[in-house]
Amino acid sequence: MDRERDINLMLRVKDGDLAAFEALYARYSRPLTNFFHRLVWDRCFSEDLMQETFLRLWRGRKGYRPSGKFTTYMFQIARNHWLNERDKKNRRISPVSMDAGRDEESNGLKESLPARGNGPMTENLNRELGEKIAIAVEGLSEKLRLVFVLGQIQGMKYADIGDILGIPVGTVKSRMANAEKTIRGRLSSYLR
Amino acid sequence: MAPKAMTCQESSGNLLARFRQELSSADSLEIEAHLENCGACRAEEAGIAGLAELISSLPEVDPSAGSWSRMLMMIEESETVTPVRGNRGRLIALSAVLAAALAAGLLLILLPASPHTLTAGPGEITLNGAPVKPGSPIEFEDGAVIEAGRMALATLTLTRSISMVMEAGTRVRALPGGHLRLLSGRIFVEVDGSGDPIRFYAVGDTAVEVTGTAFDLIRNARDPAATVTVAEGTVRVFTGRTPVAVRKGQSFTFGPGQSSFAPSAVDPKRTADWCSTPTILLSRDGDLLRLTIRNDTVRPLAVKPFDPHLAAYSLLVEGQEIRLPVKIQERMVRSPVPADQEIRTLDPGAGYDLLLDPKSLGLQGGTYRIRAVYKPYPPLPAEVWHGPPLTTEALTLTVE
Ligand SMILES: [Zn+2]
Repeated sequence: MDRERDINLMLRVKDGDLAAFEALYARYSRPLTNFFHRLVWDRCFSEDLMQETFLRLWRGRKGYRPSGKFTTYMFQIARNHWLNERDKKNRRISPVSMDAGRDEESNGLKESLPARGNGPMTENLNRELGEKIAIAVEGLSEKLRLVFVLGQIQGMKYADIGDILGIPVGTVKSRMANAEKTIRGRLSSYLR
Repeated sequence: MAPKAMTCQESSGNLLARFRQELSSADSLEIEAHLENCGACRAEEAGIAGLAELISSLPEVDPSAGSWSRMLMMIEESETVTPVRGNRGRLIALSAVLAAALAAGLLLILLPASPHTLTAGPGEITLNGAPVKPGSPIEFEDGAVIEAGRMALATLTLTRSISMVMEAGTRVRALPGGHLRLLSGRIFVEVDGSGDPIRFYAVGDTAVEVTGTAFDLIRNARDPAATVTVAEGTVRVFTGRTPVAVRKGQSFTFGPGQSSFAPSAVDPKRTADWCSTPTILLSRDGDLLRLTIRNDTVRPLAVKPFDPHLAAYSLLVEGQEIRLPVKIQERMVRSPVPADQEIRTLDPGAGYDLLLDPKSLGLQGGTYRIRAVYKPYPPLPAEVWHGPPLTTEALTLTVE
């Protein structure tokens, strides 16, 4: 089972096993990069944050205790790292306001959003849409945003999100509904 | 008894949870019953599905190629930064990670295009903490750390057309593919324009690509950003977005906490700094001529030896150039002067005197105006850092 395997890998990492660390990296570097990407909308920066999270994981390996899922442990580290970095007001974070209701002049997003699709038409459409989604998510309060973004990563369950953020499941449920409704309102023109 | 009918408000609060399969089957059934009779809630349910679809249409991001090898290097870097200055701890930590990498079958950072060979120039250079003899070729593998000594500039000849002067204490690391990353300190790079584009990785992924150019690159160990300043030509900086062209006379800071988003003009002081050259003086000392090479700057300087093959020192005798020494003779050299092949480092305040007997110059009887000329090291095309050849005031000399 995945859960057992991850914990065993992490226990080997605790003993300094680099191969086990690589196995965890192979599995989780992508979801972790995407988690950060939905927060900062910058490809390079999100990869940096992912690697710094893994570095924290490696450096703190001796303190690992196998209680709960490995992913919970990992995303807790990622969340703490994110909150630290956000407080540093790192300038590489796209200069989009965290305030609600912003939807124009998103300098940072235009260039950092990856293009998608095959032709230029779909590319433009997705780019524009991507920006709108990014701005809508950016506009959420930090509490709502973290719940919402975690909810997009590998179909994460409310219980896991609660464990990562240290809040009750009921709170996750209400914050998720709140965030979803807010974003749906902001993107209403794209929804039929 | 039948459950009490759900209100729209109750339903609405649970629609997302139901969509995400977070509801018990009993609760789900209850909502389904409500949905059958409530158009408003059905519309909201459709909205939830629509948003989920919209968001799932966002592309996922993949870590870049080489992500794991950079991860390894970050680990290595974090474990090799020890408060102990000694090279021993560094070497042990380095080899521990490399050994672990080997054990894990990760030959990535060891194998491709290695070992590389560079030529160590003047000044002390260590390779993974072990001293390298100046002037000798050095071999190293990916991941190796090359460090300039604490006291003086050191030069590495990278290829026939590219040389790199490292300020004292500067550290670089070899990356796979023969690239170098500036870990801390300052390098001066000169490329003679014959091709050979080269990339330096300055901060994480950020690459500085150079062709036909002279530039310097600074990175403080504490400040994760780096600054490139261009003396000649153009340097392109790749930060993962659009490359930034930094032109002659401009500088550009990049990396986390970067202070500039576009190149800016260079402070003229920086140019003055590049022109650090020794002072050269020609004077009389009784019947002899005294040639003085002295470091009046605040940073160590590399100077050439008195070797006729290097043609670093010469006398201009009314248009006629005489290389010095004409012949290396004991009687000509009256002061402890290095007349060997070694290129020397002059610390601030230090200098050499060369005493010359004018008779050894083989001049006919008459009166001459003599100037001494020194070609600063290294003799590369871009002269911004090193200046043109230094020439003293003319000295009048009468030969019987
Ligand atoms: Zn209803």
